[in-house]
Amino acid sequence: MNMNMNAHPGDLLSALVDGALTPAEEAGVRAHLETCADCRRELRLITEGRTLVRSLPPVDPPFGFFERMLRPRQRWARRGVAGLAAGAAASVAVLAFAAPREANVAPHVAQLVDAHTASASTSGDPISEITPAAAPVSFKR
Amino acid sequence: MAGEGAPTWEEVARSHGRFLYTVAYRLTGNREDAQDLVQEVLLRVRRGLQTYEPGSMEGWLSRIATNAFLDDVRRRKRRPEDLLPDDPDWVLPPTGAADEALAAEVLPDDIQAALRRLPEDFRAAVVLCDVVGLSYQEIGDSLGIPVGTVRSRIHRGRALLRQVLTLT
Amino acid sequence: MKRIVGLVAVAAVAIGPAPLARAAASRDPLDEARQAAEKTPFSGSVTLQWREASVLHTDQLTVKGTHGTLLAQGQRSAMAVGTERLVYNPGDGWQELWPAGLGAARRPNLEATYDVRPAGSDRVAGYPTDAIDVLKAGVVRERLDLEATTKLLLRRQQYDGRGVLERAFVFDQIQIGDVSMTAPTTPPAPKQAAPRALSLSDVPASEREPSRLAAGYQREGAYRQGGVVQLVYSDGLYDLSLFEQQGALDPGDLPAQRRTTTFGGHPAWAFSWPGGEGITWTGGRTVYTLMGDVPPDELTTVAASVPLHRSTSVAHRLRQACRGLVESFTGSF
Repeated sequence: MNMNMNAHPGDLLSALVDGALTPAEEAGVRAHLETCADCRRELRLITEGRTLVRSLPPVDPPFGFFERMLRPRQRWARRGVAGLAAGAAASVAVLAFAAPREANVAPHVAQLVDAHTASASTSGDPISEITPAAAPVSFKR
Repeated sequence: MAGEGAPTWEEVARSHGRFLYTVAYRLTGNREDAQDLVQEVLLRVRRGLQTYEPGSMEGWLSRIATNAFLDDVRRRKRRPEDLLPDDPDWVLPPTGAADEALAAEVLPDDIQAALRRLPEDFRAAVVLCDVVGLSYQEIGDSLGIPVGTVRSRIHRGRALLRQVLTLT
Repeated sequence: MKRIVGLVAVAAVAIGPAPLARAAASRDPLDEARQAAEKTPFSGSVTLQWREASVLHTDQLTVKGTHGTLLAQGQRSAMAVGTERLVYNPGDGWQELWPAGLGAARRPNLEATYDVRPAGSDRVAGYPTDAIDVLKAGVVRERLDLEATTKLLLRRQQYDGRGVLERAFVFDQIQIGDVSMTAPTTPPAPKQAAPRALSLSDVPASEREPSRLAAGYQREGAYRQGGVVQLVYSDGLYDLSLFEQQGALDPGDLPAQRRTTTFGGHPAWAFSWPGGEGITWTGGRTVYTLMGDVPPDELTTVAASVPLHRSTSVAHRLRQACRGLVESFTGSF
């Protein structure tokens, strides 16, 4: 590792931000930064790039993507999947042809309802809060 | 069930499906390819469960997903988009162009579009570091490359991404 | 299997024998009911009533509980084991909705928003009860009937702002106190990932707000499951969950029984289920869903208070974050 203060650290700047340098390496890079405006600028820009990617939210698959893969017999399965051979051992490759392509997201209402009911029932009276979760409910589309 | 304590692929899909889809989407950049990649990963998971070692499931899945993604890239023989001359010492343009402000509203879609413009090797390293959160060593193990190469790809990927998002 | 029930330690309400005169002094009847549910063996059948638009539906289920475990059985089964929550779908097995490790969700003090007033005595399923009215802004929102000795909740009736019955839970018949009852068998390790609690700093700033909504609701927790962030708000009596997902909404994917509606001029889709009401709308590239076991008028009021436009741009907040990070490496910058 080149500890020459005059050499621009280059990709060590990313390592600095990621905490991947030894204390000695870090001290060397910091010392360089104090005297080099170009590298401070580079540090700022790659830090912004890093933070931008880290701000990305998780992504939902289209509604029912995994449900169709795992439970091909559900009666609310979308067109094309309902006729597939049953069983969890059904080939994933077959389902690959049947999985619909969707460009939008939709709230998985049944799952959101379960998630809400679960949390609400822990802070309130559990009997009256959890009993409705056992009631028949249909969110057919 | 393969292996002692190893999950079934259905359990993997149930418990980690959305994480897996997120990684696949960030790597491929579109929903259709992401779905294909997720299914490819679950196929590999089914075949590879005997070799699963208890530990970070997300790390293991990320490794499979990234390698499946890069395998597909190589199979299609797509040339990585060339945004830079092939000079390893040059990361940012010498002028102040990259100093321009970020767009007023940088939507996740914009960031994703910029990610998609990165060469796949850079994109894979950035996703494993900044989406999955793996260490340089873990990324090196996943991709079979030395830590120094990991660092270089991450650094150039970030700089490129930031440049692409410059307001012009 | 015995589970340590930590909720008793959490409750701040004094417990004791409660003849009617002293019931006035204990101001959170639902907390009393919760503690009773954890330690009183019981078994019975329940009628649920819930309103969907103008139609009042009725369902019947069986519920039993002992030693901190509750089991409700209908077309599905729902189980509470201490603070753990599980649901059973026929053909799909048990699914964990809430892990015990998350503990109990918090609620603010009931009396911060509501008035609690004794409402005399009644009888439900053959047992004498203490009736208690819970009022918001002078209007009775719920009447609770707690069994006079054990404080088990035997009936709960919810009214909307006009006094119309919106929802009801009532035991038709119940046996209380059979200590020989065995607890329902806790299912083997369920398969589904359950939500993870987030410290709010884990939630990107754009998803974290607001900390308060209309009608006395304040944020009590944030959870993530898959790609969805759930912010939980409570007014002491009800919990509301606000779910946010990134992307464009295809209304064709919402429940078939949805009702198109508007609030504050904003198009939205409302739906009902035995346990509550929900409403979905969009703002920019975010899909919002707010739900809770509140009447639709309250849900709409609260939904209208969810801000759609964040106060500062994403890029601005990112630059703030970057500046701090860079300054820590370079000293002054």
